[in-house]
Amino acid sequence: MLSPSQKQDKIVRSTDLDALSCRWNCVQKGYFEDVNIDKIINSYSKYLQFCEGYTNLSAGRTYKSVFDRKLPIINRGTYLRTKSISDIIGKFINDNEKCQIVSMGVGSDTRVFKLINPNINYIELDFEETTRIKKLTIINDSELSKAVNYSGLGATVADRSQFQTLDPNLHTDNYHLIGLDLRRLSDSNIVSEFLDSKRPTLVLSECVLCYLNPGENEKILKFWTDSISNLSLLIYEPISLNDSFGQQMRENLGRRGINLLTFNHFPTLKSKFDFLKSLNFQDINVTDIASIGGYSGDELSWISAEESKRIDKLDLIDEIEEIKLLLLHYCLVYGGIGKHTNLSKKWKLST
Amino acid sequence: MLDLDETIANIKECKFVPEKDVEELCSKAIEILIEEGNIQHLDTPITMCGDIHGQLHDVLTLFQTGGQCPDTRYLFLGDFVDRGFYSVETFLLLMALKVRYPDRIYLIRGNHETRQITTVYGFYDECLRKYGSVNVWRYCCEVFDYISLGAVIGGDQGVFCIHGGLSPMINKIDQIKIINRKQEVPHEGAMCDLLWSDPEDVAGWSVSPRGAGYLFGINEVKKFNHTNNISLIARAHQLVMEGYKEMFDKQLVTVWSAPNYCYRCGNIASVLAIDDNLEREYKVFEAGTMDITSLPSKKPATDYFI
Repeated sequence: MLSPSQKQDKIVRSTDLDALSCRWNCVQKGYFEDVNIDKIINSYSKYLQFCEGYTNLSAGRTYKSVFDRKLPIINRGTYLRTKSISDIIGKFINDNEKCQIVSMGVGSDTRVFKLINPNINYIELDFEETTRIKKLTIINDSELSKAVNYSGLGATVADRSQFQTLDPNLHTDNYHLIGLDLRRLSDSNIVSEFLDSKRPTLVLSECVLCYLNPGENEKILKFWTDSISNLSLLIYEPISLNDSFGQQMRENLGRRGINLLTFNHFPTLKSKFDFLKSLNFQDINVTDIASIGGYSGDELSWISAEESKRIDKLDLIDEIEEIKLLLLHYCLVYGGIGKHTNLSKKWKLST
Repeated sequence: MLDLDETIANIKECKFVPEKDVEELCSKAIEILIEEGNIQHLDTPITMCGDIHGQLHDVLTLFQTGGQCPDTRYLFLGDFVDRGFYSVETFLLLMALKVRYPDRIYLIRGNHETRQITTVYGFYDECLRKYGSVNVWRYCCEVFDYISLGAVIGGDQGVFCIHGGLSPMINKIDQIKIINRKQEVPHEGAMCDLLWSDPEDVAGWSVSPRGAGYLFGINEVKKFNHTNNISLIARAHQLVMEGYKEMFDKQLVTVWSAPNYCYRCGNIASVLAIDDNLEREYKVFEAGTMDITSLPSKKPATDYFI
């Protein structure tokens, strides 16, 4: 039996499958390409059953749910989130010849395979079980191994004990996949050892910090501001806006066991802005996904007319008010310290 | 033979309606709807309802709020199905009431009452899940094709009722009467616009972000109302958090009747009662605290980004 806190962690880990399912749906619909997503999905099909709290049966059921069809509103929101974050990562890489990317709670994200090159030190952090699944995907696939510059052997995992004893970490010259509970980030040297504190660094949190309490948020972000002199930070997560939609969202997700711990504590763009300011970020920019997608009527969209035209054809959106309402409750927060990338994007609130 | 009163009572308790009863109900509904014009001319008093989207429990609250049918006369402005978990029961309830009390309840067609939209937004999947085949979906879609497009309430200086809004191809209500409505809603043209358009603070007609219909502004509304000798356009189609929203010097109103839309939006709902003097009374209501165990066992689609 899992303890309540183990159960909570299992639920947080399982949010990765949901995000994976959303991305898979977008790929099917043609919102964006991802040639590696099937490899990760395939890994989940093999190894989820060995994860804590899963049986063969429940893993099979959970795995199948990845292929459940999503509503257009979810596809659109997934696309906007994925594209806006990828845009920023792309700009960051372009601006810095030698740089470093740290993705916290990276889960099944496949960006690294496309982006990594010898000039980038790429660090991915997640719970050990999640990194094991990713590691197995990489070391048993020649293309992915090549992408991250891994030349070692593959591995077979046939049962729970083999899975649980597999080293969760994978290190190459410039790729570091590290199994780590983020709540222990500042207590251990496990990350610092592979960190180049001099390089311009982009730290990402895509629906990750929202599952940690405000105190843990502060501790984690302080770790990065203390460790890195030229820091860019990018956070994507839900905000409550203190309205009835937010209230309902907290209740609905709470019923699924998902507790959003920053949701009410930082309910607005302004409160996110102030939080980063309190951590001494110099350049702070915040916006919401509704504005990014052009649903707010505020001229702050990040999507070109041509691209809008393309995606409008992919799904029939029946209800604009609803999509706007949902996307208003997701924000993108960018903070810079020292030499950092100037994003030249449109924001709702900037320093 | 179908016992309508029993069927109505069963649906209200969310009991399963056998496929053969659905088939019978649909063919009876078609017999009635086929006689109705594209535009129905209705007397006051009458109570108008906006989108309900398969939220059966909230439709029951709606009837408690506005009065039970047949005691209160109703006009439903479309979007009966999709999104909610009880589209089948919701549409069957309206059809059963229509067959039982043909001149106490009227229906007009929404943009969701089509084959294409229902395959994307839930009604098709729900029929398949509950009946194991798509027959029920097919019967219902056939009914959709016969539902009228709009209504005028109260004669001169009355209320024009439509699901979406105006069309640049329609200046006079009489032009709607000659549309051949008995078909799947087309992707463009007058019939499409009437079911898809939205009012907005725009000058003239502009492109709708929904990808169908138009956005129309205050001038189009005033011109249409003047030309057709009506005082109000009542429409649904757009979520409004307060349940209703008057615009354009009160010459247009949006009525929304799905509280906590998609079990997610946190909004309130309303119905609009029009009395014999064409006075408006909005009756608002909230979502009941639905027992979560009454939700279908199949996990609802992902409704957030997590």
